Amino acid sequence: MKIKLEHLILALVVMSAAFLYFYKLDKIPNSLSDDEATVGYNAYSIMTTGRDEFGKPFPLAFRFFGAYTPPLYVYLVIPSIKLFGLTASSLRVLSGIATLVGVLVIYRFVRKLALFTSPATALLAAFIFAISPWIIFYARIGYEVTFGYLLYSLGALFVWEGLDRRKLSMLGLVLLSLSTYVAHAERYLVPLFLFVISIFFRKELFSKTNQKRLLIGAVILLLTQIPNFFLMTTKAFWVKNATFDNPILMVMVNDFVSQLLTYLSPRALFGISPDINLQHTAPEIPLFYSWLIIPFLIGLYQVYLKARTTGGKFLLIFLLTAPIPGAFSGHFISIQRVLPMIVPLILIIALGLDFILQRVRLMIFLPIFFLLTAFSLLLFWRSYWVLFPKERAAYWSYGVEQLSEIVRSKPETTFVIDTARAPTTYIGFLFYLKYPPAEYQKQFSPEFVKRYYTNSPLAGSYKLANIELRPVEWKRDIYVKQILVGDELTISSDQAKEHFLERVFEIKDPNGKPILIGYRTNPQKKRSTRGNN
Amino acid sequence: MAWLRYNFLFFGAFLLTLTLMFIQYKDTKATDFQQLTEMEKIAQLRRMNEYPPSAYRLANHIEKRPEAVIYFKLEKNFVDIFDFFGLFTVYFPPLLLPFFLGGYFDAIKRYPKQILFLSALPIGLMTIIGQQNTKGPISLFPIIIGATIYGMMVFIRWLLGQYEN
Repeated sequence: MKIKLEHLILALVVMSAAFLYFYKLDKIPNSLSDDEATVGYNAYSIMTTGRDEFGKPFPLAFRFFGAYTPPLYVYLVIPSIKLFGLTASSLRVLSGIATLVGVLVIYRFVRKLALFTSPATALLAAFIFAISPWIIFYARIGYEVTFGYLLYSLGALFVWEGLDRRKLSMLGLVLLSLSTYVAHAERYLVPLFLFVISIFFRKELFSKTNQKRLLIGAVILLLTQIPNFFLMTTKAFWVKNATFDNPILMVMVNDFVSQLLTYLSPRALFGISPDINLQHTAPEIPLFYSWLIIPFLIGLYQVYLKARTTGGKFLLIFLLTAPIPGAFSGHFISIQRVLPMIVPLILIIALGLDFILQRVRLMIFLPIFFLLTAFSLLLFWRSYWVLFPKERAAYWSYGVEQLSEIVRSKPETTFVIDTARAPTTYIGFLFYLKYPPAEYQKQFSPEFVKRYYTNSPLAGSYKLANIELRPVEWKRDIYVKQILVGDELTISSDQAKEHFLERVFEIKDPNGKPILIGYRTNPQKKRSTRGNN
Repeated sequence: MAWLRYNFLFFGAFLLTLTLMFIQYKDTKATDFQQLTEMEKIAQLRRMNEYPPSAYRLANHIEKRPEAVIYFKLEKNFVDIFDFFGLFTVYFPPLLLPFFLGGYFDAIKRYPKQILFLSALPIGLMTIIGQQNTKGPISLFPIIIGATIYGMMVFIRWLLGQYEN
């Protein structure tokens, strides 16, 4: 069998991507974020008890920290937890595999979209996708957003391939429908995307030859969406749409437009990330390498020129619908809510590269391209492998794993861990201690489980074996023999001195700054001094 | 430059852009490529210490060399120009963005050299001096306003069925 050079290069691109997505996956990010821990522990809980952390059997939406998340990712990580144990890698590996498929999705899109002329563009686009900072960052995280956007993009690819043949792709519909069970953005995006496609491609879709397919497609959508139809009757479905909460229409529109403009702004994509949540990005690197702004701008112009072609129309719909759910999801910019923009953005960049390739000889283009790529990868190494583990550790709940080890080694001691400013850290302890889910579920009444989808309030304090997770109560806690744990803001050195607290351990971040400090209380001495006063 | 002499509209826009570039230059505290601020120095030192000891020479090249400092500052200045959010919320209403994009691309299709030349001038200036000023990116305004008006005209012609590709 003759292997084509193009396929060989594609295999090399996929292998390079695999290295970037899986190398030291358990070490970097160097801690488990609460978002990952909640996915992991709930999957573990389902695997061992058939119920989630609150005791709900096989939920249709998981209640994570008071909000509800579509369930598919949690169920899909169960096999890897079964195989590799409850570890960070088990949760992250699925995102990496999905992103590898994403490399092939890009390659196929460029080949099939009928907008590109150079045979090298598909490979270049796949390569750009494989090595872009935004893509690598989200290929190495252990929660649902990455898998969601890639399943959506794969579905969109099949829908396009069907449209190109004036047919409705059943596989595309099934994949799009499934993606609504993976992440919030796709839950709103898929109906919007299909609605807009059905308007702009009505001639192709609603032709006489397609009637039977349309009927089958409608049945498939109805059947696969039954769980969502059920959820729509509860509060659990209507989350991440905070923009609509505003009663003043003008403010709502203004909020929505501002967010949309921010997400689509080249400065946000190729310069400073607008996301203020530092857990979502690596330091000193844009979402896409900054030099790609040139092919991006050329690509935008190319889309404008080709907007009347079917491929151009499809690409514009794919791009412009993608940030809409993110733009109405909340008052803050969150780049992980607009991940479905990634594939159309890469296609726009590819259009720009294709235009350049038409004018510049490959022998001149390639050395410049690879020089820029090598420089970009150096900057990515600096950002992700050098600066990120040190500068962003605190945003990834660094220290919880180490504290879990200390807690495990002293089973006879009670630990009060302050959660006043970090109420979601409890999940990290459940994860690292592999706390038996059946034990933890006992804290929640059958009535609470019955009203699972009604967003009934949570207590906010948790007791797991020898740990209490709650805000420190100074009037009470200093008179009980135990260890109080918090950061420098929770317990200052003056407070420690005043209450005779003895520093027993200190957990430092990778830069050597103390992030969690344990103090042993001294109730006897405290009581005696109170008596003297 | 011969085409400028024959095209009054673009020559006028060119003069206006030049004038506004001069005003913006006077109004801007230009980026200092030689000196780092105290904050930048602290960040640079912290970053140097974050590298593994084996990569110290590389750290020096990336963080400390004057060429690297100049590159990062130029890169920031350049990308900052393409701030659609800032331009179309602070200086222009967001509703005009589609007209601007449509008008700009249509104008490039018809008059590529003129439009690219008029865009490149302020972009070049702002890449070098940055945007630390009180009046904003005013040298971009002629091209933005011109393209937006042109975009509106194209849109109206399209509505009336008179637009030709």
